[in-house]
Amino acid sequence: MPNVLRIDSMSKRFGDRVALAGVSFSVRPGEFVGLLGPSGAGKSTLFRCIAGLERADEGSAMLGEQIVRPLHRHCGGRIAMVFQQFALVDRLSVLDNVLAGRLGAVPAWRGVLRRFSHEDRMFAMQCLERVSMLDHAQQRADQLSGGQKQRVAIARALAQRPDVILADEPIASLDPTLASGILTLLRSIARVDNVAVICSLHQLGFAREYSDRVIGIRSGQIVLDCDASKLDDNATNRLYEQVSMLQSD
Amino acid sequence: MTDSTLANDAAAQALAAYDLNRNSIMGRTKLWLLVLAAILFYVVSWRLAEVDLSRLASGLPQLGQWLVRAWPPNFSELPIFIQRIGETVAMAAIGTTVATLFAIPVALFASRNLTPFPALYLPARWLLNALRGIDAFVFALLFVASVGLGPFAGVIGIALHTCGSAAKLIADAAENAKLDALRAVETTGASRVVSVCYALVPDLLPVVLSSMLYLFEFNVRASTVLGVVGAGGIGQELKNSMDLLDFSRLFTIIILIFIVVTVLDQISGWLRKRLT
Repeated sequence: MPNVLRIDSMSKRFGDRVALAGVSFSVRPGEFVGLLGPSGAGKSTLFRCIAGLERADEGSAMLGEQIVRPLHRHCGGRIAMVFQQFALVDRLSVLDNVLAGRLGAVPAWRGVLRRFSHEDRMFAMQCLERVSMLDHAQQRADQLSGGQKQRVAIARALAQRPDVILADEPIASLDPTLASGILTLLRSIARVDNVAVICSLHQLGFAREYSDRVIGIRSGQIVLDCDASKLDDNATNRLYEQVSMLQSD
Repeated sequence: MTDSTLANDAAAQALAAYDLNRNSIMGRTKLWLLVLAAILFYVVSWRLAEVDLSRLASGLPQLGQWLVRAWPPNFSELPIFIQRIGETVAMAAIGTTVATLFAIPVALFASRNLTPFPALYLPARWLLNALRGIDAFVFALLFVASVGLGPFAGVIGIALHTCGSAAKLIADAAENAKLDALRAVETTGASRVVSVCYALVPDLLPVVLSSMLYLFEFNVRASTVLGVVGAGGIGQELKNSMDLLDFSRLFTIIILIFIVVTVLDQISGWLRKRLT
């Protein structure tokens, strides 16, 4: 199967600090990739560069045959993001939040006036149904609990009809039960819709349980790229413990 | 996306319910009544304010003539102007500082989470609202009558009005302050007063100083007109020039006020940025 996303030796530095140092990997459609690494390893920067929110100093991200141009809308929302803090518009209804996922595909006036076509609104409702939030469509986003908010954020990502979903620590603010619900949902989206999901995580157990494959980065470099089942203590030591030794030096 | 008919049904029903709720007759009626009330409000206000654009059109040429006669500005009386502006700035400085000093204890009573006597919370807030509700100009008018003409009446006017504003700003900041640090310090066995000094004052001090500077800026601008009621400062000269229809003198004073206010705003703004 051809790759849906290919990252080629991507590098990014902020002043003197190297955030990414030549990161390369590719992801197949429907693959669930767990992205591991200590805080500050460059996971969020990698996501922001892949999504084109940040300009990489070197290297590129290819979405299918298309190159992702930074700070440019042209990939039409085919890369969707899910954030740790949900990033919903608090004062809008749940349905309107999901419809935000259609903004890349509709004329500007529809976005400004929040007047979406029947098809788009129906599709947004179906996305809400996918995440089991249909009953909450009318509620304001700020009335939801954390787990519910993340489900709405995932529905918004689905509404973009994405090829790739980048989830940046989507469960870091949730308790373990809600967290496994969210990961189950993301994995089923990967399976059913054939969307590639890259999900950064801090819990190795979750990574082993839900991912097909894990990528570990440390100090901006890939130090681990293997089948999730091969994630053993040896591998995790390489990923985490050496860093604490480096830091104590 | 799976497109089973069953899924479509549930989504379609939910969408219909959503639209029904959003577009209910009650909701629409309420919205239109609100729009109607707003229109009515503005129509009445327009009438009461006697807005008359034709008067503006006929008055503008006159203003233009005055402006022409105002040029060039006349700096021959600069020393007296500088003295008067000095009075204005001094009034604002003394008034604001005195107001802030009085505001700190009042703010303590007017912040729900710190007040030692909860029964006094509302009366304290009422007092602040009353002080804020009456403009420095009005206070100055009263005090010119009781303590006589001159900047001192202006100082009292500014101090009274500003005390209300300053105490409200400080009390609001105190109510929004995070109290977990205060609680943590209290659990070490420190007394209430010590805890407040240790955990709250470092948080609040920048707010107090910053609002003091902000109010000072505001008061310099406000006190330029206090002279109109005889409470000293550059406003006195402003009024004299207008009475004499001496437009170049008037224009000169306005330029000077503009320069001084701008410079002070810049300095105070810079200081406030350093504080946060």
